[in-house]
Amino acid sequence: MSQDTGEVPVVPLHFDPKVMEGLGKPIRNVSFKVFRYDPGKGQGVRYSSYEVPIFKGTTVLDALLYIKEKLDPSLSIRYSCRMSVCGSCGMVINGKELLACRTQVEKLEKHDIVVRPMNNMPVTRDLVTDFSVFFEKHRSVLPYIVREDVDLNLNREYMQTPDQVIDFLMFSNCIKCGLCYSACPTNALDESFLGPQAMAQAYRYVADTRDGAQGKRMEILDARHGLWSCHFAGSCSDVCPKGVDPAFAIQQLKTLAIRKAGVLKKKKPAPNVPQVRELVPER
Amino acid sequence: MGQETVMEKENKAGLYRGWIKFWNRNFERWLYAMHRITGVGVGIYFVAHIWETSVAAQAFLDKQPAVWANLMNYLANYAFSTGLLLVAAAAVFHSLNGVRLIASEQGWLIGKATRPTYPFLPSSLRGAQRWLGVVIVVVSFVLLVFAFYQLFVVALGA
Amino acid sequence: MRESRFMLLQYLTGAGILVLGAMHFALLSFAYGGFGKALTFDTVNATYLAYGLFFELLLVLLSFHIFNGFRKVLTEFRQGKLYETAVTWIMFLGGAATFLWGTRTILIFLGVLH
Repeated sequence: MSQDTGEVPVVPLHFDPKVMEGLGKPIRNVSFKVFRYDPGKGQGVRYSSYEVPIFKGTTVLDALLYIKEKLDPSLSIRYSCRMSVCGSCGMVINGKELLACRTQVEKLEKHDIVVRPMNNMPVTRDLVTDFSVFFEKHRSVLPYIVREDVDLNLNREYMQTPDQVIDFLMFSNCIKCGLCYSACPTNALDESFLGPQAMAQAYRYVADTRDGAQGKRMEILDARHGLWSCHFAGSCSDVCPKGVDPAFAIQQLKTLAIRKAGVLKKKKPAPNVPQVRELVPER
Repeated sequence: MGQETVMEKENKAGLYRGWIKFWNRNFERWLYAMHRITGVGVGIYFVAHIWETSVAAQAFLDKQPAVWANLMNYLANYAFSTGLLLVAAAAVFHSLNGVRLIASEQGWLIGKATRPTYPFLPSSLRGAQRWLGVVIVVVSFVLLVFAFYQLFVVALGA
Repeated sequence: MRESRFMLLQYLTGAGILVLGAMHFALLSFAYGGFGKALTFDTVNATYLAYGLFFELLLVLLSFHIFNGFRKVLTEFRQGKLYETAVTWIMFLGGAATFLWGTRTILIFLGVLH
């Protein structure tokens, strides 16, 4: 209750001790065994072990940054947003592909955590991988709207119903983290395989009614190391942090390649709406 | 940038971590690994079976039931029956899982595209194909028991 | 041939093998008094004529399905233009050889070949 003096009363806070457990002081120490590789210094593959104090809510990324800050500044990691929207911190944690910023150490329920860089991509240094081939495969499936009748001066939207948007929306959530590419068993041995990310993005545009290049994309996908090297192991969808479900996209592409090839051929890109888009006047 | 970043083996997961180590992964990965193992196993058996039946054909051609009977007796042992049991189980699993794969790869049994909401669970791994996978494993086991009865009790027992 | 055509054939042959293979197992297990009795000389002698076409169809389907499957596994295991071409040809020849040798066996049982 505020008084005329303007003083704010101090209300004592009571928290359940269980809620406070692990916040003020560490719950325990966890041993991290981290993959190390530094070609610049001629160092081959080795593992370094660190003891990291874990609090409630400590993520693997927090632990790695603790290692970098307090124990071993030479450790190289890639991270950015710290909230699983950028896709930078993908790594293999105890044998599973996860985003380090989103993985809480306590939830792993292990005393020893092994951290490796993602599979199937060359390692630049320590936990940092080279995404060049990954991005090249992504580019190869024409991951943008392609149509022949684009008129940049037209200023009229394309017609698309909310249901048509739902058909491709979840695939547009891809943050290119590379976890699916690392988890895929075909990618484990097949260098030519496009990978789940590229094919999911191909489907994102094939399913988009505004696009007109379905035929071109299907030619790229319907190849020996394209769609048909996927055998629905589902690990890509299992590890995807954004629910893109690449396995779903790839099976839909297979349906289009076999059962619905005729439908795909007849498909025309969505027309423009009749009304010109209203521009917000400059102030 | 590319040339100096390659680790010795380009960091491929390889045969063991990619194809063989499936026990720490999702259920569909187990079925994928078993489909591959059973397919290769039954394939090798098929080639051997074509050769074995051609040997039997020779006995047939020569109208020698004794030679035929010798071949059958030679093959009627626990080791061969165990091998045949594994082949039968592999064939059953591979066929039934193949039906599940055909259905999933043609867009049935994998759910629908949805507006993604947290915790972003994938619809393809929660669709009917997962339940069908469980049924397939159970049916394969039941038929394995039946094949055991046929091979060990009926054939070898007699 | 586009890869989707190979896979469509893989699906269709797989479905065919499921039906015919199940019949093969069922006949061996139930039709002639159990597995041991189904493969005696006299039983086979008496029944092969009826099953000739059945086995030939199963052989065709299996020869394609199995060797195409091997081709997929081997081309995913290792890549390279020369390697993949070699694997494709070897699997094709293997499938053809298996089919021809199996057909020879069937024709012997049918009494066509002596």
